[in-house]
Formats: sequence, structure tokens, C-alpha cells
Amino acid sequence: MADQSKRLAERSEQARSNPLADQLKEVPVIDMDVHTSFRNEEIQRDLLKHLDDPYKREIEYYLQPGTSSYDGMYPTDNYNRDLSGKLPTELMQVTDPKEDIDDVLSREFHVDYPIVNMLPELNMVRQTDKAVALNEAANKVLVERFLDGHDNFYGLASVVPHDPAAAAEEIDRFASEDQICGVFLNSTGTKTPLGDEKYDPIYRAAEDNDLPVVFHGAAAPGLALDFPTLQHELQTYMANHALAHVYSQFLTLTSLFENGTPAKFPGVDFVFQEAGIAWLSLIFRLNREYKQRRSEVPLLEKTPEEYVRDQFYFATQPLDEPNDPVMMKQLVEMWGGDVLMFATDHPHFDIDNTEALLKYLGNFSEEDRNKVLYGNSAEVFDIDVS
Amino acid sequence: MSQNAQNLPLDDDEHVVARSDELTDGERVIALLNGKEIGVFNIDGELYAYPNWCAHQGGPLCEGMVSGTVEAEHDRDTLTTELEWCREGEILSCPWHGWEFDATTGDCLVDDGCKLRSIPVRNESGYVVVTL
Repeated sequence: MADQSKRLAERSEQARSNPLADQLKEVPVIDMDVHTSFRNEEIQRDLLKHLDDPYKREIEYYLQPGTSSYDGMYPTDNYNRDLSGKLPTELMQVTDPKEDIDDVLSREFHVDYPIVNMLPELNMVRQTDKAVALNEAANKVLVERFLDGHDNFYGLASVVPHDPAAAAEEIDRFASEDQICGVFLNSTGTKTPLGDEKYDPIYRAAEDNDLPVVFHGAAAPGLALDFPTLQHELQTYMANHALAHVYSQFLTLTSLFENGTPAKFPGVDFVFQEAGIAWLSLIFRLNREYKQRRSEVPLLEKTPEEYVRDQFYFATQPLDEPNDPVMMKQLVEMWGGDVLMFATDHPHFDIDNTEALLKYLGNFSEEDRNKVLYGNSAEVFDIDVS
Repeated sequence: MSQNAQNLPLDDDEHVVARSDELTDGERVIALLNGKEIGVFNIDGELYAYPNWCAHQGGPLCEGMVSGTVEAEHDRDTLTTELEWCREGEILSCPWHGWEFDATTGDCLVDDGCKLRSIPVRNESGYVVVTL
């Protein structure tokens, strides 16, 4: 366990003062992927208020001194994620909206509007009833602890894939919260790929409530189900982490097109987090497959790329790292103001600094640059930045 | 006027590719005219002609399967999708990559920018005549 008292997302005063920072002073920035420290004791204690037995009792058990591991409660993947302390999974504990999110993100990353998700990672919880109950409790904690009283904060209400009808009810319930601006799904460990028609109630509920659906890529528990060779036969977390997000997100994207989901629900915006943008070239492969086999996917009325540019959005984080930075500029220019959204991934080791993204936006018009920094998120998540 | 075995009064750019009674409904013929391969199709009694050259990557399009295709309708209330096999005999698929074309218009079903060039073709005095 990393030292939970450190606040490693904060940097030195010298690092904070730089020309890129100056450029960002007057620009509103929306960070569309901010996490909480879900397993932190404070948050787990909040969950208790919204749970009944036996799940309440189960969390209480794990919160007792000496019962340090939640592994029986929440599935894990048993990797040495932290490199024995060299690379802490969480740079700091995020439990307080002001101190741990607003203060840090505004000071270090120029963020004015954080979009927070609880990242409960419940897809691999075995019992449907338990997963649904924990997820609903997590959403209540999101609203009470992180959104209420923080007007510049927005939140994504998570759903679990176990029971799509229950997920649709959860969306209906939380859509009435002013600051809930989207639906959140982890794209690993979903058993059936997320475009499958059994999940259509989720997309219909999102459309009915005018909310985007956000897919979060993760090297999370569940990867062993989706990609067992990746999880069991690759030997390092380096390899696992390189492939996990891209595999699960591309599986999700492909599944959405296979089932015609964006055509079924034209009012839904589909948002992908945490797989970077280099993999977006695979959309061109989907174009080719669509053109060769259109009769297999007859709900689609245009190429996947056209749907993507109209209805899909992608977080820039984690920024890919071509050896020649010019190539990174070319990558962001390929998608540019159409689909990209800035995100930090605070407080995880994948974190991106706004200044690091800004370096690659030099050829963008001011309008397109602003779309990436806040405009696309403002539109999709319905956030007034004026 | 061009010389032709049928003694039809044709211009130099007009060519007989088949007897009309050989190119019946659902049949096709691929003719070599001035070094160019032209596919001629009889679909439901109407004649259509296109270069045997797919606008995608140059494959032998007119030798591909003529069949139908699938259309789908989604019912948002019941969340069910109904598939329908339709346009039987009208859809030409390139054998190289499967791109679907509406053989009655030349429209490509998967790429608006890839319409086939229609070549004039008619029945005249019992023969199918193509104008290059």
C-alpha cells in the first residue's frame, strides 16, 4: 500500500510557472475524467449510509482494524501496479472535493470544471443484487460528497452491466440531479460486449434523459474474462496496461457498430476515456470492414468514421508518445476539434497535465483548441462555462 | 458507320455485345470493346452497362455476384430489430472486397463518392448495343 498521506499530484512552484501555464490562465478547462479513491475508508463509510444488510455488514467487516483487505468485497487483479512504490497507482487520496480535487486540479492543471466519477469497478462482482446495490450507493456518495455545494463540479452516474433494466432505472433516477451529466460504464469485465442489444435499455434511458454514455477503459478486474491470454500469459503489468485499455475500448467500439447502436440511438453521444488516441486509427479499419460487409450491419447508414465524427468523443489521456513530437501533432490534428476532450485521470499514475497537451495544439485554430480544452465537453455534458 | 456482323446501322462508338434473346432477365454478358471490358446486365427487363472495373481498387466488379441485400429496422419501443432480405437481383457485389452497388443506378451502397459510370445500352433490332 502506498503512503496515503502524500499528495504527489502537486508540483513545485517553479514547475508551476511556465509559458504554457500562462497561456491557459484565461481559458476555461473541463477535465472529464477525475476519479475518487473509492476504497478509501471515508468513502466506504459513506456507502454504509446507503446500504442494507448483508452488503452493509460486509463492508463493516472489512472496515474493522486488522481486516485490511477488501479483496473479498471487491475483485482485484493482483498485479504489482505500484512497482513496489516507484509508481504509486494513486498519487494521492481523493476524498475531499475541495482539497483533493478543486485545489489540486485548478492549481496544477488549470481545471475549472472537474467531471468526477467514483470508479467503483463493480463489473466483476458476482451477485447482481450486490453489484446493483453497491453501485447505487456509490452514485449517492458521488452526489452527496462530491457534487452538492460545489457548483463547478459535475458527475457521471455509474451503472453496472449485470441487469440492464436496473441500470436504466438508475439512469432515470440520477438524471434528475442537476450536476449529473453522463452515464459511466467500465468497459472491462462486462461479459457480453457493450454494444449487444441486451444493453439497449441503457442507451435508450441515456437518450431519454439526454445524457451521454461514457466508457472508461481500465486494466481492471474483468480483463481476465475479456482477454484471458492477456491477463494470464503476458508477464508484466507493462504489457497488460499497454493493451488492456485499447483492447477493451476497441472491443466496445466495434460492438457498438456491429449492433448499430449509434444508429438506433442517434441522440446519444458516446465517449471513451483513458485509452489515448493512437488507437483511433483502428476506426479506419472499421470503415473498411463496414464497406466490405455492410449487409451484416444493415442498421448503419454511413461509415463508422462518419458516426465517430458526429456522435463519438475521446479523451486525450493518456497522451501517446511518438519519439518525434511532430507525429503527436499529426495524431491530434487527425481528430482535432471534432472528437477530442481533455482529461487528467487525476489521481492515477496515468495523469496528464494540460500543459503537456497544449504543446501539441500549436497548429490548431483557437476555436478548435478550445473545443479540445473545454468546448466539446461543454457541449456533450451540457456545462455552461461562461 | 461501323462494320458489324449484324449489318445494323451503327455509329463508330456503338457496339453489339449480344443477341437480345441471349441476354434475358437476370443474365449478364461481359464484352471486350476497344480494349475495355464492359459488363451488361438485364435486370427485370431493363439493360444496364458499367465498366468491369471497380472504382474502389480496380477489381473485376461486373463478374461479382448479383443478389439482394439486407435492410434493417429498429423498433425503439420494443428494442427489437427486424431484418429484411430485399432488392433481390439488383445488388452487384465486387468479388475483391464485397462492396455493394445498386446495379440499376450505379450507386455504391457504402461510399457515396464511388458511383459507377453508367454506359448507354439499348436493344436494337434484336441486338444489345452499347455506346462507348
